[in-house]
Amino acid sequence: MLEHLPALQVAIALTVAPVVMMLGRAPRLSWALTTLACWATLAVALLLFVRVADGTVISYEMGGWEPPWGIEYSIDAANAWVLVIIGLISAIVMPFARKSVEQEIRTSRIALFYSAFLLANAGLIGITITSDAFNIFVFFEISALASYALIAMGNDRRAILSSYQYLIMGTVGTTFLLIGIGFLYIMTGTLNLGDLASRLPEVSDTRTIRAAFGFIAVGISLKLALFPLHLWLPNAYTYAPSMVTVFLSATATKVAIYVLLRFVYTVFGFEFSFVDLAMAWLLMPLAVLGILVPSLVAVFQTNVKRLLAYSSVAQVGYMILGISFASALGLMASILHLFNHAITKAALFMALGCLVYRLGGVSLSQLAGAGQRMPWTMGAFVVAGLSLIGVPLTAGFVTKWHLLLAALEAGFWPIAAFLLGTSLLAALYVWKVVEVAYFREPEQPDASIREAPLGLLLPTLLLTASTIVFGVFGSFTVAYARTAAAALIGGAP
Amino acid sequence: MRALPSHTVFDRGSGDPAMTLLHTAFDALLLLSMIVLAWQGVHARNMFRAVVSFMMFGLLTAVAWVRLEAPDIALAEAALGAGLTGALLLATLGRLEGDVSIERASRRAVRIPLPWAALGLVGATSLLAVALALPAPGLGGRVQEAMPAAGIDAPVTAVLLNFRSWDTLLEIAVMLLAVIALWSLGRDVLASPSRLPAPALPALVRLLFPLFILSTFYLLWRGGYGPGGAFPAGALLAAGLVLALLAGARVPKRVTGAPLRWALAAGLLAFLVVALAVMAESGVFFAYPEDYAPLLIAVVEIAAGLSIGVMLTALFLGGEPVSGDPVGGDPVGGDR
Repeated sequence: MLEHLPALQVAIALTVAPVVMMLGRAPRLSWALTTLACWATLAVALLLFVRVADGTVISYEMGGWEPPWGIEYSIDAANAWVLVIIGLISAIVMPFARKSVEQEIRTSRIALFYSAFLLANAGLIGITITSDAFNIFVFFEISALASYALIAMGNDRRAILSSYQYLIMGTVGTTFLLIGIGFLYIMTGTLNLGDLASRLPEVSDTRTIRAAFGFIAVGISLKLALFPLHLWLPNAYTYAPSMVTVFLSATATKVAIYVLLRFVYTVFGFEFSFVDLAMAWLLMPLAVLGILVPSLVAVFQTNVKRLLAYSSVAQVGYMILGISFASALGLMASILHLFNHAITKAALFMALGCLVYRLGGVSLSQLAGAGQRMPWTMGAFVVAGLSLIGVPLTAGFVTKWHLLLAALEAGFWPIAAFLLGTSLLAALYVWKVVEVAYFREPEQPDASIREAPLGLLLPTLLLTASTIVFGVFGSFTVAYARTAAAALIGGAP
Repeated sequence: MRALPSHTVFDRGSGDPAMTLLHTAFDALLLLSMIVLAWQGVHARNMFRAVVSFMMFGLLTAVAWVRLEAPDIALAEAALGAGLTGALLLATLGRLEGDVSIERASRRAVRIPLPWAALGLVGATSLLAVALALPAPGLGGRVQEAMPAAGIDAPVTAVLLNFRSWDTLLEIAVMLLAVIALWSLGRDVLASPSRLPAPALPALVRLLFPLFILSTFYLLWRGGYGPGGAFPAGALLAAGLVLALLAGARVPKRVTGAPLRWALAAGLLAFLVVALAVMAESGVFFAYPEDYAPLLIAVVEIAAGLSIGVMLTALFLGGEPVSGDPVGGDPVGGDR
């Protein structure tokens, strides 16, 4: 059975999705099945993770057809890392989802909701695990369509409009990706990533290949919400149902960043991307602006969900900044941040989910007094907020520290100073929420507001605790991120 | 074993010079008409015209696929690009209130200054030159070599349902998601598909509907030997069903709800169950054992074809049809 792990990684969620759809009007049963599927998928991801931790590469040929015309799945340290992020977040968000979804989604649509969630999950896993360029595109379509459906099911009327905006921009992104992949296929006659990597050097000095690089880079940048292509993100995260925001904020942009890394480092290669095309000089200004502008915008938000959404755009900026140093250390810091930001932001959005459950919304005025009424939830928000700022002993600090080292190693000391300055901005917008929740009296005190139910609270606290655990014992994640970076630079998966 | 169409775009190198000339002239005319129709679709004075141009464009695209020797894609294109999409657009048009003409926008766009036209011509010519100069490596040759092991004779079907069956399965998941996304927008957006004001349509549909069903099954059966298979068959089935809806047929109460959900999900599920089952037998996910390959492919093809037909029809219907069963009542209330 162990040799089938790569196929099962995707197939479990994909098979349970139509079953849940068939169940129709049995919300509890569809929740239970979805939870089991997510846990099984996490188990598979962990087994794969352990097997590639020493640098081995697992390859699996779908249908037994050899790679050039068949579809190959391959797992190395880099994508196993992302698979674990997806598996972990979906496994933790499911127990949280039961009550949250029952409150936010109509009973008659819950089965549809979980069906779409499973397909989104399978889509993200598929993008990460596959080694076939066209297959990547198909999985992008699946995860994107599922995300549109999930966002549109949000309670607010504006959910549909934000989903539509996301659809337009997301479609432009995947179309660009497809055009780029088409160019690569025209020039090399292959779709397999490893095969592409070995054939591209012959033809890389052509306009077609440079155009392909441009299309792919811009297309993926739209998906990962690189400033200024992030416009779809704030509304989508704000109006989506709580559990959807938790899941997408922790996984979707991370997967897109992984795909960018895979194309830049493995398929096109470091020489082509960073030396011939000088990609770093495009990425670094965008990353700096991408950290600064959304952080400033976040400070002025009154809806906390939107505030954190802008913070997510800024965090993408940090990941891109690490890549733009064009060094092993910078790449390692970015890969590290994929994980550390995933757990931090998921914990924060879960805490918001708890607040929404009791308060009905998370605009700043509604939060007044929440610190006293819901001490555990707000406590989780504060701790995860510290990790977002990058305070020592939290996961966020471990990445900020390595980003700082990478900046200094590359000789960009103004960037190092900039990193310290933007942490203050993060402190400012987190403090804004804390101040209202703890120190402002509610205008109409409502004695009926209690702490969130355990079903929501326990996953939130668990994830919050993990931001401390991975902050204190950061050496484990650092060591692994180093292996993953080596796998990306080393060559084809 | 049938030979692969030998990549003869525009019949380069077919013997008779007169025929080659004729083909080239036909292709040029086809391309020109497509460009004109695309232009009209974007710049038409009112939306009805735009939609009709779009449908015509779909039909000509189907003809282009025929010229590229891919008749099954042509069939799917005709049913989807011209038929279903057109029906969707027309249905939308029927629901838009008020004036649908786009006079203001078009008045500005009618006159193209000559320099722009010249520039466009130069651009198109250079694009064509680039396209002709591109190398054409591909996987066609390798597919040809692997055909004996595929278990079916039709190369396109072999690629879709065997070599890259995984991509095909995922495309079915994409279609299922399209239905889920539509249903997530609200219940029964288009509760009553608008009836076209065509008095002869019901009679015509009564005549044609059995033919649609018959050709659907013919295509499914033929998929194993030649062009055909799940996607064209499903598209044709959907075209027939949509035509029936347009002529005034109603979805029977007892098939909405559970049976409809089952039919929608069945294609994806059957595909996956087969993939997992053969994994136990042959040791690889999706690797059909050679003895069973034709049978299993047939099973998958029939399930997928019917599901695709139902999914496309559901897309035309809009939101989830109101179920006959009483649990369908909505406790939360209030449609958006």
